[in-house]
Amino acid sequence: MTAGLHITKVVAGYGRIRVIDGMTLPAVPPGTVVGLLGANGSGKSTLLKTVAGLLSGRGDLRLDAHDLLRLPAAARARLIGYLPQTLMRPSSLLVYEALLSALRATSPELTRTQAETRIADVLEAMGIADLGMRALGALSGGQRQMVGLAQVLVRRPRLLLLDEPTSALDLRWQISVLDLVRKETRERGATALIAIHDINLALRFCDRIAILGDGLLASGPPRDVLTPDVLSRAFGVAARIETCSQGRLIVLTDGVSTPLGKTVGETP
Amino acid sequence: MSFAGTLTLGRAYARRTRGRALILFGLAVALMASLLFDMATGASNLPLATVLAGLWDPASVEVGVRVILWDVRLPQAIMAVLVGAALGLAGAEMQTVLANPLASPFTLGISNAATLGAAVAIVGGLHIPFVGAEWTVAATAFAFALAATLLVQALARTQDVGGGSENLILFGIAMVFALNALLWLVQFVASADALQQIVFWTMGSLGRSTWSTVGVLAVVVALCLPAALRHVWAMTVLRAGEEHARGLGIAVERLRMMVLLRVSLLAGVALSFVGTISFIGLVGPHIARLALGEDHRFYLPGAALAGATVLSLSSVVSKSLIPGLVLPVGIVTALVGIPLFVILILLQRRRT
Repeated sequence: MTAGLHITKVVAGYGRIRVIDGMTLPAVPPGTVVGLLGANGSGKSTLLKTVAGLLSGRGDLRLDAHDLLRLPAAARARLIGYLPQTLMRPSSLLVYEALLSALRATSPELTRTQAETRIADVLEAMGIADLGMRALGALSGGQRQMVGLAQVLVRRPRLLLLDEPTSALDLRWQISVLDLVRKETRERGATALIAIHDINLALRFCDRIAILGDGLLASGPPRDVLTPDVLSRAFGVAARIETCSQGRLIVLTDGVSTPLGKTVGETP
Repeated sequence: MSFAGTLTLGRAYARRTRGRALILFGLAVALMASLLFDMATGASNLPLATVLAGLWDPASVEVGVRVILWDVRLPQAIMAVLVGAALGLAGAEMQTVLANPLASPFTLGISNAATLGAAVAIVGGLHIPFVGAEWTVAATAFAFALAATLLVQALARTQDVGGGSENLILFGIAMVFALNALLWLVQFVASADALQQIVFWTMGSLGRSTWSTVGVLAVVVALCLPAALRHVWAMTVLRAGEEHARGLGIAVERLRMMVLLRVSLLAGVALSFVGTISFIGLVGPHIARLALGEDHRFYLPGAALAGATVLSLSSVVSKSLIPGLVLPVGIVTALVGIPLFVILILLQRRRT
């Protein structure tokens, strides 16, 4: 089996409700950022939770040489960095402690200096070093989301599973955070799976896009995958894909398609 | 850039850590002072010098003083410390695993179950084989506390949708009401004499302490504190959020079950010896959080020390409020605890 992430015939859900039923994703090579797109309830979070080990699933999940479903929870957690959709709780825990405790709980072999250096480096790279000694309860929602991501990055996982990592961030931070995630993923030869709602952000920062609907609707490089037809099937919208003056693709939505095939909303 | 960042942030945190260690030390000193005052206070006031002399060399003080000191004051004073530490630690652990700052041994009915157990033993005149009469009430109270914890957990586990701690708290609250109703039922059928004993038990008193009950509780605390400290990092991670912790490979459900069993042991044993003592399990953790933050390396011992100090001080107050009369310490903790709790909450609000 080649290196990277392999998701084959995965079945998962909550209780008796099956959200993912036999999903297979084309193999993801190391250094790749995959954007998971799809309507609400299409199974993006369920897939991430299943790979992370928060939900029990069946099928075949492999990361490099590791069979993720057979790995003990602690060993699996060392390979994976999962950022949940929910923000960190506003407690009196310091940002520094949120990162330190994550390192100590998963990698007890790190020396004090190693841990300190990693924490300082990641906060510096994210541009939030000034928050280090602040309590989580004294931060805004967006800042807590960034601390959550810092807690993932500080552990240097082989696989990053990020559930809407930019949902609480303003425009500037959305871009700088995703840029950092892409940089880290490429430099460390890791793999990132990012559930994201903003198609244009996904276009800009993801090497590949996987669109979930009733199963996997489409998967591949953004230019190949994002077509008006796929967007209509995934989201029920009428959309165009245009090229901007800098040569980048942008998706423009014109309206919402109704069951009668009509489009409502503004049309140019 | 990054090197300088490491130094400043690492140093800032090291400074914070040293400050916290100092606060822990200060709490320990305050506790020792309170313990000494507790031994000096009582129907016959002993000068501190006599207390110290009597403790250092029992033969150096007269027999009467020695008996008061070693057979009455010392076991009671140490019991106050141990019960306070047990309730403070239990409350702190519960607040973390239930993600609820209101959690204490009272929340899930552990304390109510202990009271019901004691009432049943008193009214039914229970005799447990191989258990001495003086231990029967305590043993029954503890058995009820443990049973209540297990029942609440079993109920919460039937809800497999990963509802986190909410189900646990809901079933716990239901348990509190059910246990109270059962307690009233027992009181309704109780004789006047038994009723008086139940009422006195529910007021909480250190007066029943003996060296053997002190020994049992000391063993329980000595076992539970290191067990709790083994999970400090997992517990600290949990404060940032349950899903974040689960993503780090922490078996949150198992951790929660272990903690609740430990809490029922700590609180069940403590309350079975001294009766109902409220608010220590709530105030101890809040003092610790305010003074030490939520790094559980400091927070858990801090909550135990703060609980012990508050109960020890309450014991001093209970003996000195009305000269010649010892109030049940449970009344004092509630009266002292409530204003203290309100002040703490106001302080916390102002901080964030």
